[in-house]
Amino acid sequence: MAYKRQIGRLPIVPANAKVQNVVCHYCIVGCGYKAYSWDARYEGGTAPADNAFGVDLAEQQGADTPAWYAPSMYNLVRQEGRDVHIVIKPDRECTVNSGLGSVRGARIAEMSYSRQRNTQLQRLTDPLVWRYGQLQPTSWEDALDLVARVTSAVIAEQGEDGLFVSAFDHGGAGGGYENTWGTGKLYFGAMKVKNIRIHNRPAYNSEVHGSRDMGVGELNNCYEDAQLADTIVAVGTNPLEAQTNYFLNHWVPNLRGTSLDKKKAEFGDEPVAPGRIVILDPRRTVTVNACEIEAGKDNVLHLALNSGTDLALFNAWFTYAAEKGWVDRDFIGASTKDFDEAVAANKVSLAEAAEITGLSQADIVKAINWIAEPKAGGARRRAMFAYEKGLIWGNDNYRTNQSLVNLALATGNIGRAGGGCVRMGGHQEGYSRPSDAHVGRPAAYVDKLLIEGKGGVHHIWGCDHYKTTLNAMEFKRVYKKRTDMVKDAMNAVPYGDRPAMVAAIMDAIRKGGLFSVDVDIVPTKVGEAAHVMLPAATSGEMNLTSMNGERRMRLTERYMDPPGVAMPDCLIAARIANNMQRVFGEMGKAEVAAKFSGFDWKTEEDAFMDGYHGHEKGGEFVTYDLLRRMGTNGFQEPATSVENGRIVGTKRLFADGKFNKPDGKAVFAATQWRGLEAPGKQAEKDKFPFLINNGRANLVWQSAYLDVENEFVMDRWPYPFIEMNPVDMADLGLRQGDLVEIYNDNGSTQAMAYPTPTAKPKQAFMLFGYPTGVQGNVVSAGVNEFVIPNYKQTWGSIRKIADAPKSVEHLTFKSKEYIF
Amino acid sequence: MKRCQSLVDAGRRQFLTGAGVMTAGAAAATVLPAEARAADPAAALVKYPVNRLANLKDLTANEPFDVAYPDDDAPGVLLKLGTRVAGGAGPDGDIVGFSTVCPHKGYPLAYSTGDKTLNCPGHYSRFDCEKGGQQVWEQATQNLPQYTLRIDDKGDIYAEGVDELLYGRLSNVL
Repeated sequence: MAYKRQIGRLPIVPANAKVQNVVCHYCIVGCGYKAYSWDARYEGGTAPADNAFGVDLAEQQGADTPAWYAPSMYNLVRQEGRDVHIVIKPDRECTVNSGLGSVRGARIAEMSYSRQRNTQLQRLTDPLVWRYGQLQPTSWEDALDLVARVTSAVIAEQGEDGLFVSAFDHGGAGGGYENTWGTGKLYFGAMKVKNIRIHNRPAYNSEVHGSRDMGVGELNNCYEDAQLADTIVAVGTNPLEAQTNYFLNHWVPNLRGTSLDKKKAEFGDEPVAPGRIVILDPRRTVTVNACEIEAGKDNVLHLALNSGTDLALFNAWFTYAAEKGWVDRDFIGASTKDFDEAVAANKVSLAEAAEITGLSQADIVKAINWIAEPKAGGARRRAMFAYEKGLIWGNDNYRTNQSLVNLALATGNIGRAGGGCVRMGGHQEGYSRPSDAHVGRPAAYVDKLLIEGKGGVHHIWGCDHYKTTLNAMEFKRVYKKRTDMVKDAMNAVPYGDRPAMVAAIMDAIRKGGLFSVDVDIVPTKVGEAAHVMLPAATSGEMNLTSMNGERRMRLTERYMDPPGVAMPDCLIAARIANNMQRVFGEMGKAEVAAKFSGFDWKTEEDAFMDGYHGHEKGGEFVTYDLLRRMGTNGFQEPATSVENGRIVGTKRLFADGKFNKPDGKAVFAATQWRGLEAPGKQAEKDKFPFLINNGRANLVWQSAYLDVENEFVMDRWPYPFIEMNPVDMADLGLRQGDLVEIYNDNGSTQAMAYPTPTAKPKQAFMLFGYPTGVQGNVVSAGVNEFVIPNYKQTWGSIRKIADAPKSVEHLTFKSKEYIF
Repeated sequence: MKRCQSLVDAGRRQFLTGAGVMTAGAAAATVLPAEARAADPAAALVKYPVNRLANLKDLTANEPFDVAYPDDDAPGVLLKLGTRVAGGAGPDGDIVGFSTVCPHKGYPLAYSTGDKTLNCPGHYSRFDCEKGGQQVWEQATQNLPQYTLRIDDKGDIYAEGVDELLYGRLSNVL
């Protein structure tokens, strides 16, 4: 049977409950929530005067009511040392989500650490060190001393290149401006660490170098543009699942035609109509289904192109639009350069594009008509281009990104209402660090170097390579071997003899071992290899600032205590710096020790003031006090002033036609098609029968690290699903729920077969980054020229392992598509 | 959201025309005089009414039968699925009952006879009636509230409880 909580009643939020601002820390959208908390010994009442909502709760409340919360929005937690009830529910006043709660954000309360209600007891409460053959709790002082001594010894012997770092670079949980600054000041300020990578990829690089190099920052529009566009072009993105409330609250009104009044108000006499949408995705997603429901099939064009061929299509559209004259000549002349060169370099005919992409010429033309054909009276058609991992983690990332920006620039759609050429995003953003210029380009391929035996010590911040990297099986094999060497050495020395312990560790490192320090909130998979684990606080257990996909910056207030002695990452970084300063001082390296100054922060607000406020564009206008007052709507970065106690922001970037180049002109790029670009991909395609496409699912998107301890989620997805065409399943003797092995020359992994009639034959789709079946095991080490991984173009074979296990028998395997 | 509101209204009309609704809420009331106790101890659990929702002969295979439980403001449905399911009641083990208010935002669910699911027009959630109301694709953070059913010798179908919190109320029994 399906999991049920057997909860028939919840405590009522009293009228005097404390109310704090919360921004969901899971995905990029950053929906607004409010946290209501009050003392554990009482509750409110049903009479309007006795509850926080001022309504009679003895009556049934209607649809969309703000006066209801689900059991998942409730918990009992510690706040300033006291037990309190907490309700974290969507905020109707937030323009991002207007009261909508996603299946992730509406579980923030239930996914909080609660000893009272036994939720998330997996959270790390104390520093852990490898002692007597297992990880054991210790004090901050002891753990930090060990980390500082080993790290300093490695640097003294190998230089700073011996210190490898994996670190988040984003906002939301496991990030935020405070924590990126804390880690950034440590590794890029006190040190100049070069062998560093980001949480989801094997190097320290932008996923959108292509767009940035043209002078076009990638988060350049506002969510309202999705309500204003004539046509939305969605490339390799599945927003109903991965940017849920952005899609529901801003795309759907346009597709339904309910934003027409907004369009008329904005555009005057210009002809307007309900929005149309072009969706590029080899797979039919629930997004396609929802768009058809809202806009009607006639206004939805799903282009299920051959995997990895987007670039050829964009070049064909660019060529066609240029030939037809459907380009914005004034804009091109005033704000860009190299347009004619790009037209000459990127010429692709309709016939060529059809051949490469597998699409019909008619559909290719229909799409460009929707995108660029002038409206009645000659008005420019407003198109918004939105892309995500299908492009970013797809074939030839750099050029494909640029070829899409070419089209957006040529049609005058950047910096204008109803336009934009934007990534959809994963986490919220929250990047504030000293310059990373010393890392260079291409950045070091850190995973590869670790596999080759390089480095002596590895600091990990909120990353789990075992689950979310490419070539993951080989990475795990080597990483385990190298860290086991150090564990064995540590097992041979009494823990209390610090000099002997450090000497034994260093000896193992010289023989190829690796000392692993993992900073996280939960015991991750890669944490199985760690010698030290340091417990971090997450959003809401600390004050945390981030910005969402329209650069909307808000402050999530601290509404509960972190577990045990866990601390914000920024303060952990500061304490590592303090200890390294002490140790280098003891080693007689006064000059090195001096570099670790400036880490005397006592609170996360200290780190914020030092970092964002002191260094970021417009940061001088931003303080915690002002952000608190601006609630869940905040402001859109960059800040430009403070007026009447409110921060004034920037609705769209590049609205003045000036781009991020010295002369302010965006640069068109030459982006010729060159097939499957990453080494080994074409050969893999030729050798193995199934495309192992991969991506995300609504229920666990950006929350799986906590979901593994959430009964509601694990009941639904005990194993990652792999969507397969029923005929393919029959050929392999598979029934729904059977466990299958996916394998190729890179490795192997497992998943649960999910029959999907809309799946094309020999095109499977597997849930990415799931702990009970890691898709990255079968992704090759092949990357683009800037070390961007190519997860999407993976081919493999599939075979049955076992019948559906007991934990799968009760599951539904019906179509995910809404039926009406 | 005009369209959704009209759907909600439509849902309410549909539920109000449903037959076979009978409440027995009064049966759960205590008879002890208030002054007999200084403080009436609050119950740990909701006391559900035992309500007759229908008789076996009212049900046709794979045709939704509108009901309400635990009171008239809580629309629901009885289904004779036609195939035995885990948790199914009746001689064929195929009768189930669910709330038809989406636990995400309170919109009325519509039954698809084709694949025996309840579907939400608001935000596309789907619940499988053959799998205890498990959410097939989801916006809600809970599976669909299902009724505990009992069928007596006369074939009368009674609801005796609900296994999840109903949308729009902080106590399943108001």
